[in-house]
Amino acid sequence: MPSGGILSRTETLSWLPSRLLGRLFLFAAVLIIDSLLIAVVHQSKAGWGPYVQSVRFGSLGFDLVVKFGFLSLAAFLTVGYSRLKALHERIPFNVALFAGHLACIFAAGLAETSVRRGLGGVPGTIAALVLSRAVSLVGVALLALACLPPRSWVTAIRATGSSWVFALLAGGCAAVLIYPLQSLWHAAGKSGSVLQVLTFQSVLATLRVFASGIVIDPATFTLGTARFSVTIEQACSGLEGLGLVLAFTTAWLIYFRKESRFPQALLLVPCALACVWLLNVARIAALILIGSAGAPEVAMVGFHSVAGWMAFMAVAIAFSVATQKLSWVRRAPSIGPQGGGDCGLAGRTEGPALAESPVRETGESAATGAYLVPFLAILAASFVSKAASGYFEWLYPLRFVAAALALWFFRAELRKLNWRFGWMAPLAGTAVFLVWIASSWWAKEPQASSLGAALAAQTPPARLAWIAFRVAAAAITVPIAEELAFRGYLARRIINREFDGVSFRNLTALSTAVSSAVFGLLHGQHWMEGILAGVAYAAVLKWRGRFGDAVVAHATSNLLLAAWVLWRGDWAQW
Amino acid sequence: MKNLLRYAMLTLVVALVGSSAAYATPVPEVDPGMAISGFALLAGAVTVLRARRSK
Repeated sequence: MPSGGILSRTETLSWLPSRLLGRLFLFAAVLIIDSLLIAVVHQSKAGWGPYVQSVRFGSLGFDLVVKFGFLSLAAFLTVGYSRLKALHERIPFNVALFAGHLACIFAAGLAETSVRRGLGGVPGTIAALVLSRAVSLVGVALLALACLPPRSWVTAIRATGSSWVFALLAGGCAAVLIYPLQSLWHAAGKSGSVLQVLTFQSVLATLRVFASGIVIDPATFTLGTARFSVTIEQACSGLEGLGLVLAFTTAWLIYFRKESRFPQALLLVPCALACVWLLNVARIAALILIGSAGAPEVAMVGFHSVAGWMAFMAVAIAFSVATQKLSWVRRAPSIGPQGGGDCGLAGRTEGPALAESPVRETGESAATGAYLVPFLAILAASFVSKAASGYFEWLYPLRFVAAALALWFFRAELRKLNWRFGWMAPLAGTAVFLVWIASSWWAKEPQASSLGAALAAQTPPARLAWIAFRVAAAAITVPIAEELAFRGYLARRIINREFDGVSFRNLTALSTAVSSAVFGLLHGQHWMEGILAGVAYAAVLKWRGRFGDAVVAHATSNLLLAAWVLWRGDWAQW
Repeated sequence: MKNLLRYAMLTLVVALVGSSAAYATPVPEVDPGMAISGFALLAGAVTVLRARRSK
């Protein structure tokens, strides 16, 4: 335990982490907060002086040191995590040194403000800059000693072996690579970023294969045909797809780390990034070809909005399949009686023992497909139909057909459910309908929507067919698919992994709340009504434990809403 | 209680992120207005792919 005096404040600061790893995280967290505070002053445009540019070069060196320090610390914490976690000695926190740290940061902020305002001319600005940097470094040193006394730092370095060498190397490499890598997406001048130029040239090469008479303007990154052209902005150069795929693949590999072999699995990440970037090139080329073919509205409204999602989802799904199917990436399946949590693969072993022990079943319940695929078919069909549409989703019947096919495919599994229903179901459905249209009823006038005008522009047979499919979907396929997904699967999956063994009578308040929240969010601007509807359908389901009650309640709501839309012309409700 | 808090926080985050994403302005490559549908489709597809095969 710590000795007396100012160094023994651990007891009075019991809410602070007291062990070595926790203190290192505290050190990193305070450093991040300090950096944000200094950055606010640094980025402030108010009062910028005339000498800032002249001292900018000197700042670059310090910036590099700061980045090197941060990255090395992050690498050290990552590489040495498990060893640092094993150290349980309680460490005192030095309040006096921390107070000194705060004073230094305050002084650095004042000096930074002086630099910005150019007080004292060039010499004064340089002096303030040097002072700011020096005080910052002293502040960091005081913080390091406040969080961990010198002997604890020595303990941390000894306990982690040569990790500190790897951490410094990793930090150094990352700090050096920051500026060249940033040029990939950050344009230094009018020449555009590297990624923007690459995307432009790749789309151009792709277009030349499929079309003639290509029109280009490299200065503005504009290309297309005489009929239709687009400008490739920095945001169109694949950055969003790369970011999403990087986040997805990283999260996947962290969550399912026990199922993957490393470092082999890491090789899939750059492959996924390359795929999504190439798909973005294909997306832009297709966009131009669709627009040039005489459908500029489809190109710029539907396809433009959806194709990026489709590319991301295709790559993400391919990545997840690859991690499960490729034998050089996937670890051997788990065996034996012990098993882990949701990923279900904890406690596995590899080698000959596999052949001798019974293989433990892993993964989600085999019934998952029957409950989720109909709803996923609707979602997938909606992406396809929106991609092929402009402001009017003429391909909406595809949603009905996709859901009907999925329900037919899983009919054997779905027959096991109790499809009977009672009088309470249509009553609850009517109540949900009344809540749903309440705001529209009070508003007197229907909300503006382009759907009515778009339908009026169709031929009578096309209009009737579209409305017939829309009503059929609302009354038949959508209620069944959504009830299967949200009440049948999600509400019970929250309770137990083997969800199909959970009785509907055993739905809990928590499972109802979570499934209803997700159900509501999928209803866009009607999210609040959606949440209430989800709770109502779950209540009906729990009351008698019959799946048919929830489906009939849902179908009643949707059917009444369809009648309301057609009777009142309130197309915004669709 | 711990699980309740965990799910409550998760729901809150999903609600906040989802509702803000749903009303965000469309951007060039990936439309945030379709974020909830997109992530739902992806999460569902991955869940089905990870499900055991029926015997």
